[in-house]
Amino acid sequence: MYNLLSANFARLRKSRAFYVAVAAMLLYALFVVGTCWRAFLSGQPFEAGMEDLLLFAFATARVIPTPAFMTAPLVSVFLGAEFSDGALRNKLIAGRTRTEIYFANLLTCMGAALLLAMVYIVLTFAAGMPVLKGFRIPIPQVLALLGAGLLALCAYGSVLNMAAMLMGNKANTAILTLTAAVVVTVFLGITLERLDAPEFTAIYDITGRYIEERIPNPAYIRPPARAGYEFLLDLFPTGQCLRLSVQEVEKLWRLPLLSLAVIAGSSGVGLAVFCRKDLN
Amino acid sequence: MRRLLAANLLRMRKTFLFWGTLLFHAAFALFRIYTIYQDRKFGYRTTLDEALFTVIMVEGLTIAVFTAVFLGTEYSDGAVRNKIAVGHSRMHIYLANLLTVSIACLLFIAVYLLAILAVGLPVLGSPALSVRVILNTLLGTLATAAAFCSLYTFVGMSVSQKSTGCILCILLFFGMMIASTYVAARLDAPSERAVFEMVDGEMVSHIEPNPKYLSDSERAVYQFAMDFLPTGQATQYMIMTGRTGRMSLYSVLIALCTAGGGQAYFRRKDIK
Repeated sequence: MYNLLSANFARLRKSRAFYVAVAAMLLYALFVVGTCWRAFLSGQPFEAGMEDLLLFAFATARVIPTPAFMTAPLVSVFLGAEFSDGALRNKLIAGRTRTEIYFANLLTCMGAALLLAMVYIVLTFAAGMPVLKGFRIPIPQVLALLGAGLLALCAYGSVLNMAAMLMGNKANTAILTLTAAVVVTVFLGITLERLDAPEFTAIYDITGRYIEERIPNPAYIRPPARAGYEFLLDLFPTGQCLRLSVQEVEKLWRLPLLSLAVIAGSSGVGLAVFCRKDLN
Repeated sequence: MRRLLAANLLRMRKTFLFWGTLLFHAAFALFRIYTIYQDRKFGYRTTLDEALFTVIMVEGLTIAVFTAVFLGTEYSDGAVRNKIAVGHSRMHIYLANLLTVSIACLLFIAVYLLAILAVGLPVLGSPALSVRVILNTLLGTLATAAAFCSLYTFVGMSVSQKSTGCILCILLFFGMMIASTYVAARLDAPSERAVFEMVDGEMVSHIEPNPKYLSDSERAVYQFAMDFLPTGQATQYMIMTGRTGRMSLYSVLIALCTAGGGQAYFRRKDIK
């Protein structure tokens, strides 16, 4: 499998799609750092620590899972080429097992997702430090959040690998992964909004003046449904990324476990179907 | 060109993509009615009007996928090359494809509206808006849909690889959606904001001007961006704005420019 992995990474290094994804990540990092520098130079009050900047490696302010939209096209094109160029068939003829091929591609996808995140982290750390002057939370906590985020990106890479290996087609994989990314982002955004609804709402008199009374908010999601929504947000790798980007995580211990479960589940299903797939 | 169009429509009719997208629009219409009905149970005063124009934002994504796959297949199967070899002009090929995509989009919206009216009228009652306003807004949404179709046809006809075309169309839609969301947020920023601070151990608040509030000149620029972007138009149609005339004009402009530019590029493109 070592040979397969080194061949994959050699091909990734020469892939135009990879450099386009890296360029997109660099632009994103420059945009985020540029916003900080602009506020700093204009003398505006800017309350943010270095950790806020670094955590944007996973999503932009709990709204857009930006790295997801950069990784999905890369994986679609990179793995789709294996099928269209006949590389997969050649690997099988050369004696490689389907399990080896699947896991080599899985590790490549995870590696690509991590590489893109590291490009962002290194650039923002180097360019953002002069402006932000350090972390506002303890370093172990920063490392824990970054670790959970990187594992979430690995889980996302695993799901993309499963989609690519089962679709076997560049175009179909691109459509499926990107459309799913947009739909899941919208769904998670609506879920987050519903969870943000306060438990009580104030009531106002006819002139619009606030009366100090509280009534239960019908839009508030009560337990046990609330726990279900929270679990769903933590189960989706993009859900984890959205919440980590603004440090809105109550059960940090749960995230790596769920990411590992997603990796195991998607790899198990993907491998089982791939081993039975007719590769014509 | 009539033969090209007829051939395109015949191919479209036989694809799972077309029927699947039609089915998706019908299902989405039912889902939209369900969400409005659920909102009523929470005490919100909702009407059928809210469902009528939601389709245009979803259409931005669905027609992106449809266009990229439909036109990408033309390249991958060699149909474009064959059409040129048989003697059809590149301009006719481009226009036939643009018309095909536009007709498909029209059919998708028609199915959505039919499903909304068929199920929504008995469940949610009649719309609150007048027929004139509804028709006016509907025409505006069709202009926006035409802009989407023209944009994606430009991408689909310029890029030979299906996968690259799909990626570019979907990312184009998402990029426009992000841009219009940001512009809308800036336009909605209030002129003042409450600032809380601790004074002598007590939390006190005071009102100060919001630095993010746009000046008149900035507001004009942002409003132009919101009216120009097809996704910005879709957002405004969902809340039933009264700026349909201006936005329709921008949509027609986008459609004409992208159709003209796309044709010019396609004429020079090397078809392998």
